[in-house]
Amino acid sequence: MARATKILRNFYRDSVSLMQLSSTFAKLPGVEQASAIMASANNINLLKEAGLLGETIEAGANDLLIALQGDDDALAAAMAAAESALNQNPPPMSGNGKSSAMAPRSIEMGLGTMVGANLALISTPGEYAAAEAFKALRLGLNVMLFSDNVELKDEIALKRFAQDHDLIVMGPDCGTAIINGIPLAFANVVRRGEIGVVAASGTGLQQVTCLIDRWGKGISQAIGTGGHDLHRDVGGISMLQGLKALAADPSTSVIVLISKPPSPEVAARVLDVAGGAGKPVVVNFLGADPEGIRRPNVFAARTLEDAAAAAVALADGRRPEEGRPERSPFAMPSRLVPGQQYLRGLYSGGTFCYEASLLLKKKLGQVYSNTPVDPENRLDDVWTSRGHTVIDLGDDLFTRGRPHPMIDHRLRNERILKEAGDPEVAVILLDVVLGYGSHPDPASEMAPVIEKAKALADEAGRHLVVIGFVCGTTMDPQNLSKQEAALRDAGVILAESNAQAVRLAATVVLGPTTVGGMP
Amino acid sequence: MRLHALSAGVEAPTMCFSGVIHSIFHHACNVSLESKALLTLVSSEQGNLSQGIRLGTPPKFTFLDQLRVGQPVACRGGILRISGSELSVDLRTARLWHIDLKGMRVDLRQCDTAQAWAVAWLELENHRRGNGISAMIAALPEPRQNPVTSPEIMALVERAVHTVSALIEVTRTLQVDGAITAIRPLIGLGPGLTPSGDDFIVGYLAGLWSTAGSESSRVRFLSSLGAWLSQAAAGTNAISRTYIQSAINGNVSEPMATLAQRVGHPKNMDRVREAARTALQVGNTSGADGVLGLLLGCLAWAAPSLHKQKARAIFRLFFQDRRSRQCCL
Repeated sequence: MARATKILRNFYRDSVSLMQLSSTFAKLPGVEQASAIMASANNINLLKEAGLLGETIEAGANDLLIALQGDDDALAAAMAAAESALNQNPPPMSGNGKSSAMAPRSIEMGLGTMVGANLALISTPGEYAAAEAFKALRLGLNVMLFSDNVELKDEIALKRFAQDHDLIVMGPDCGTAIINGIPLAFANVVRRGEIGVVAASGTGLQQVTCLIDRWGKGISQAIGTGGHDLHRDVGGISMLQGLKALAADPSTSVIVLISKPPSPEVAARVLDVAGGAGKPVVVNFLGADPEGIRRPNVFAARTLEDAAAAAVALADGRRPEEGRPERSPFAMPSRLVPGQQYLRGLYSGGTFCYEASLLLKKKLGQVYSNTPVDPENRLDDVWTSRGHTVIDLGDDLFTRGRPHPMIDHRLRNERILKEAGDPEVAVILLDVVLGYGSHPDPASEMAPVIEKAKALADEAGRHLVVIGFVCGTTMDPQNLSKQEAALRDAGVILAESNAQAVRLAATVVLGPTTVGGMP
Repeated sequence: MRLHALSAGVEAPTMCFSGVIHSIFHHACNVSLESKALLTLVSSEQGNLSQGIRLGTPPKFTFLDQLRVGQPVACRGGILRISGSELSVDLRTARLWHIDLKGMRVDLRQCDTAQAWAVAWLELENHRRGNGISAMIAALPEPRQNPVTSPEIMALVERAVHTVSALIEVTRTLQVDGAITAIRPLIGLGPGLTPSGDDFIVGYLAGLWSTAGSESSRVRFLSSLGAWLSQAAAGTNAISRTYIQSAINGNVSEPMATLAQRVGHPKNMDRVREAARTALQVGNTSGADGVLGLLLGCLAWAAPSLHKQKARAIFRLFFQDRRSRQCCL
């Protein structure tokens, strides 16, 4: 009497089907015994006991085992019949479930094709954005709200709804985030690591994450909150959620918080939570008094660069004060002519511009801006500089009807040439932001114009100093070294960070020939 | 096709989860969750499950036409979607389903409860279907009526008869080690998608939870046995393991829980009979094996006098007599 077995891995059929299968086989001519049974250890022993199995078989409890005993020819036919019967059922599908259906036209349709998604990135005109964000939240999705011009009352409603449903809204006007290593919107490709960031500032987040990457550490999560999150009426809902999430995240050992100064009550709440996070928290509330921030396990940073340096030091187990990168003297001859006395900062990043205003105020005194630190220093005409001026070219005034200056360099290029023609201008200060979302080759757009601006000044018997920094990483798609090389070739003096570039620019304007402390 | 959930068991997630389709049947499908647990979706004509969600399905609906094994599944905001399928389910409409066995306090010393137990047992005896443990032990299988009966089934019965009678005795005396020894050979044993031995264990645990009440020694016994069984259940398939895990927590399917409820608190015997028949109809052998386990589990901690007067007589009748019958097959 012959025996035959067949094992079907991870194969499930209901009990009635299995019974019918056994029954069908047992009725076949020449088949003495038949069993279709789940291949648990006890069942295998049972079949051995019953004489249906002789040899040891490699099967598990999730496998279906067909065991037959009878004539050789009959067994072959029975097994063929078994396969045929089982093939009548739907075959296992190993694919990834991709649908060839039309591209989704709604969040709900998108979920139909990517059922495991848990975040929606919304970038619609502001008037529609809140409604779309609510749809996403009601579908159980976290939201990154890239759109701006969302009313404060809508932001509050969205964030409260999200909070009640254990979700988070990043934004409105959230331009940057890095979630699980994936850069979203305007974000850089940084290595993964143990430092988590929550920021109410897009370029602030980019600067800190890029510097951390440059100094050898990585980012666990970088959560954007949108610029209004720490407004008194919003209450820092998203920053608190982000902070708590990072505090609970075992992959995060150090947390960095970045924002313009919050309302005092929101700041107090955020700092209280930071103090109880159970891990070191570096806080950079731009322009805030560090003494008001410091408390056990909470470290105040004056600049974005300081925040990154402190986080890297803490991640290395050092005190932040010990963690600043070493600097070496940086010599630069000054060839400015009398009358060249002003600095003009032309920024694409709003936070860079604000940080520059803060630092320059201390060095140079009055600094005009379209986004000034002090209201009395607001420019009456944003198209025309006066004295020391720093301009945020990403401000709504400049972006109406045209792309952001990180994408479209025309507006800034025009302004560079305009400033170069001003005999009182000594230094032009620039930021260059790399990463996803930004222009694919910003140096190629800027270098010719910078060369032209310097030539224009030279022709007028002046020497125009152009100082800048590149906010990017070696893994960014624009190729950091190529960008830096092209800018240097065009005569741009590159610093490592905005803070360093600003200090250098201020020193040039103030007139020494040697600058200390630069890399 | 958008379906609405009618009810969700107490162990079923309904808001945010992800998984893949694990197995599909006409009226049920299993989703393997990221937590490795199984979530079962069942059509409207099926009973509730503690780890399942019952859907409002149209007539002639079959999951086999809608799904494929391996499809990613995710629920966000209460809407369950299956990648590559037009089927989605609104879980927000689900009502919570739960029958609390632990609070049932079935007491067979009560005359009407003992009578209800006997009514259910009679239904089990009369249910002559399948070739699981119950059919062999309780339902007088006749070889000529059951062409599938084979040496393998005889071996099964031989093993089950010894095991089940020993299990009841060690349960009565609260011997956890003895219970482990008795249950071990039943895990994954026998025919069926959920093997017969597993179905018996699930029913047996249901019976024990129904009668344990708040008596601490019994609860401790169940906890210790459950802790071991959680690990030992790795010896059976993933679907069956899910039912065992639920039963360890005191949760079973609606037909089983309803029968326990009606036996424990009978209002009229017709309703007990009806509940027993419904429970017995589940699957090919599962229902009967589970009912056998439930009724014996209910009996295990009954008063010694009841054992003497009723239970022992029943055991003698059903085990020894049936065993001799089996040996004659």
